[in-house]
Formats: sequence, C-alpha cells, structure tokens
Amino acid sequence: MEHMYNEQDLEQAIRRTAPGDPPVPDFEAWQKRHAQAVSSLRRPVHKEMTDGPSGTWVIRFGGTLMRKRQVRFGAVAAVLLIAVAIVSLDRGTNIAWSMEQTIEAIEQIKTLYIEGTVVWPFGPKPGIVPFRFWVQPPTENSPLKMRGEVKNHVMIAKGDTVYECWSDTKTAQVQYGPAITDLKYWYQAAGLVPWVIREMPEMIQQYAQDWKQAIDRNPNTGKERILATCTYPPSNMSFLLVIDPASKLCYQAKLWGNLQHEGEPYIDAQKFVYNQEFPGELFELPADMMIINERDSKESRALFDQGENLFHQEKKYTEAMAIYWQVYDAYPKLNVAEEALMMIGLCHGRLGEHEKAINVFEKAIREYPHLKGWIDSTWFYLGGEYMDIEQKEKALEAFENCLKAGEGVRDPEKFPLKNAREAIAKIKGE
Amino acid sequence: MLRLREDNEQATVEAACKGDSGALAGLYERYYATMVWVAYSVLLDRGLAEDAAQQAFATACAKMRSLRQLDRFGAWLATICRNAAQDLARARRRHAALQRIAAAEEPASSGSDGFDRVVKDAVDSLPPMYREVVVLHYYSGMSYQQIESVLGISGDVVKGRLARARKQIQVHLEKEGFRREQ
Repeated sequence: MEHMYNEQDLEQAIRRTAPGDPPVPDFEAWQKRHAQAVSSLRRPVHKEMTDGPSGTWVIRFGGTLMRKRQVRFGAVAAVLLIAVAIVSLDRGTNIAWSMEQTIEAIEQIKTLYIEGTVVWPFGPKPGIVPFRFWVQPPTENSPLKMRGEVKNHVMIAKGDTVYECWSDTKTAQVQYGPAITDLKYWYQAAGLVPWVIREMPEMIQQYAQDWKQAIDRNPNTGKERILATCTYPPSNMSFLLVIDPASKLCYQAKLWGNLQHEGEPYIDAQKFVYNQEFPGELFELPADMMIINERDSKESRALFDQGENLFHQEKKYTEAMAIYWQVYDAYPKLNVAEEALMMIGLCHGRLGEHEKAINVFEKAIREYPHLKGWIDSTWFYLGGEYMDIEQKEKALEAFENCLKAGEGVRDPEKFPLKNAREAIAKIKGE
Repeated sequence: MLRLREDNEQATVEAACKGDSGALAGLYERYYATMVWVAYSVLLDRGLAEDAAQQAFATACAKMRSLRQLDRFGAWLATICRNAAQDLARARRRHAALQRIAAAEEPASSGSDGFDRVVKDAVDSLPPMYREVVVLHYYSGMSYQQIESVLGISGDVVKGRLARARKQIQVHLEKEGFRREQ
C-alpha cells in the first residue's frame, strides 16, 4: 500500500530526525580541556624560529634546493639568504662594513624584490630563463610572504600556506603547513630569510670557504662597490656578491654549480630593489586558477568513473546523472566538474530531455570558458540538441563555436571538429 | 546590518588572533552549534560530532594567525571541522558502522506509518555534502544566507544542493512506498 505525504510533512519529519537537543557551547570547559591550544594564541609570532636550525643544515639546504624542480625558486631564496647574510661576514681584511652594520641594515628591510636569470634544466627545452622574486618579512599581524615566478610557474608562500600555480593551464596546487611535503624546502626557505634569524651571518661565516673580497669601481657607473666571493665545497657551489658600501646591502649576486665560479651561473640575480610597496594580491592565489590538488583529483576521478560506468556500461542515465551532479557539487574548481556538466547534458539528451540538456551545456560553457578540456565537445553536443529541436540557426552557431574552441587544441580531422564541420556543411547545404 | 555584523566579526577574529580570550569565547559561542552539525553530517554520531567540533576550535587556535581572510572565518573553521570529523571517522574505523549505531541509539520518533524512520534513513544515506546542507538547514535552522556564509559557497550552490538532496530523499521514500502529493 502506498502512503502519501506533502512537502510540509517531509520538512517536519526531517526536523524530527535531528539527534538530541541543540548543542550548547561551554567555553569554560573547552578552555580547560584545550589550554595548550588557547595559550598558543598568546605566543609571540615566529617564536619557533628563535632557536634556528644548525649551520650545517642551512648550507645543506642550499644544495638540496638546486636539485628540486618544484623549489628552484627556493634557490633564489637561498641566494637572497646567502647574499644578504654573507655580506655581514667580518673577515678582518676590510672594514668597509661590519656585521653589526649589516644586521642593522637587514632589520630595516620592509620588502625585497629580485630579478635575474636562472638555469632551468626541466621540461623539453632546458635553458636559462628569467625569474622574479618578491619577499615581505613578517610583522606582528602578517606572516612572512614570498612569491617567485619562473616561466609558466608561480610559487607563493604565505605563512604556512604554499600555492604552486601554472599560468598556462590556470591550475594550482595548494598545500598547508602540515601537508607540505615536496614543497617543504620552499616552505623552509620562507622561514629562513635572515631577518628572522639574526644568527644566520655567524652560521654562514663558520661554513663558507675561500672568502675573498675587494673594492673596485663599477665600470658603468663609476661608483665604488664591494665584490665578495666564497665557496661551499660540500654542495659544490660558489658565490659572487656585489655590495653597495653605502647601504651595506647586496645589489647583485651569482651562484655557480662548481667551486671555480666558471660557466653560466645557476642563478644570476641582476637587480635587487629594497622597500618597494607590494600590492596585497601579489601573495594571493590568482582568482582564475583552478585548484587541482592530487588528493582531490583522485577522489573526484573515482566518483566520476562511477558515473561513467552507469552511463556507458549500464545505460542508467538518471543514476549516472546523480553521480555527475555530485562530482560537480563537490569539486566545482576541478577540471572534472566541466566534464561532469557535459555528461549531465548528455544524460538529459539520452532521456529525450532536450531543453534540460541545453541548459546544462550552456551552464558548462558559461562557467568554464577558459578550460580547453571539453568545451569544444560541449559546443558540439549543444549544437546536436538544437538540431533535435529543429533550431538550426542556434545549432549552426554552436557548431561554429565548437570549431573556434577547438582550434589549435584538437586535431581538426577528429571528433568533434571534423563532425562539427560536417554538421555545418549539412545545415548550409539544405 | 549584515555589514555591521561582518565588521564586528572581523574585529573579533582579529582580537582572538592576538590572544584575546573574550573574543575567542565570542567566536566559540557563535560557531559551536554550527560546527557540531557540520561534524555530525560527516560522522552521524552526536557525541563524536561534539568531540570533532571541540577539536576543530583547538586546531583553529593553533592556525589562526595564518588565516588569510578574516571575513571568511566561518568557512575556514567549517573546513577544519570537516577535516577533524573525517580524521575521527577514519581513526576509529567506525565509519561503516556509524549509521547502524546512530540508528540503534536514536530511534526516530514514531510516525504512524514509519515515515520518520524512512526519512531518517534517507537523510543518513545522502552523500555528506548534501547531508551537510540538510542538517544545517533543518536541524540547525539556518537560512540559505547563513549556510552560504559558514560554508563559503554561493547561495545558488546551497539551493542546488538542497534541491538535489530533497530529490534524493523523495526517491528513497518512493522506493519505501511513500509518494509525494502533487
């Protein structure tokens, strides 16, 4: 026997299924139970850095940076680290500057921008490419912030958060402190800039070798400058630093992957700008980026595949559609959401629900115009739906948009471009 | 009015970041119940949900200084809470059994034809992201706008998820012999 209910019955029944009384907060009890967590709010910012890592670790860190693809930006940080710190070495051969003076100068730095070139041995075309790098030290209310750009690759570290972005595909990975694994060196670089650790100059002094320094005049400007070189044999690295005697700060730096200062430097930092005002969005995740965290990506794909099975194998379009909607709802920022919308449109189409199919295809095109994954196919299917309801003008427009969206992305002799051309010819031929 | 509330909240979050325990207490009072329901939608166990909500506040304290947008404190806290609930579910390896335990411990108040029991089964078997909006809207009595603010998703997404959740509940009810009046 069938029972009837109305909307109000359902809503009341849902409310009745709530377990127990409404939750009541008891801050006092919670505070006692989590006293340590509460007290962490009262600790000074970056207190954990005051102990500092060992000097050996700091230098080894520089060597490790050079071998990590994701953190080659970090190598720039290392140059910054070493460049700014090393100038404070008081070797006794020259009294143009002293450690105290440089520490004082370092502490006055509010921001630092560096640009230059870096050897980029990754990808199909290894070579020397430009880099840009921004650093903003921590204040009482703001964590340390860093941003590096090399080719299509952007890295942003802010407090315990790291964004790794690819500007060509508009995708990004986001990692938070405890989850940072491959990016840990970058993250650690963020914590190592010298204004955080006053002891850094002494550490460098202990471990750098072959220190040499001289004063000459810049051949281009005629201004006096300090040239300092040193090596670090365990990591097979050597350095050249150019220092302004007036400000006591570094304004050029080079780092080689050998002990002889020979060949193309790994990093050639040609410009240092201190205390420039940075726009706040420089350290934000760019708004047009899609987040593609590995974990989400696997989970979303597993869910999507359930829908694929229902659609392709079992031909259960209503059930498949429910799964695809879950994919879209749960992962709206992943590329798979665009594919899910296209599949929902196809489900509606298979069920003969042409208007709904059109609405969903248009939603996909509206929400993911920048993606190159399935937009051309979605335009093609949209054209097909318009054909089914005899709206040939709109169908023609959709097929033409399919060709535009797929141009340079898809093989013109394959689906959907070939099919769109045939459909256009058919419409125009009639 | 809403703007004023947001400004007050930002100031409260900022003060809490600096260790002001009065501000922290204010945030706790404001968000505790909501976080319990967020955790409940993952765990389906009221006791565990309270544990997860309390853990979420503790984690938030440890991370609060890294909070980037002070005006998104609620959404940020809800993410921490959801993660805490998921960790709890995984750690205790009870996820699969939770629905049975919850059902056994808390029999739904009896409708004459078992309607409430079937509705509860339907709600419990919803995917967590749909269950979350159902729980916040119906159990906690939050408006779409409040859910939007706490979960950090748009009002359209809230409406969409609720509509699809209702649809799935209706399908479940229909399989159990309950038909909606047209």
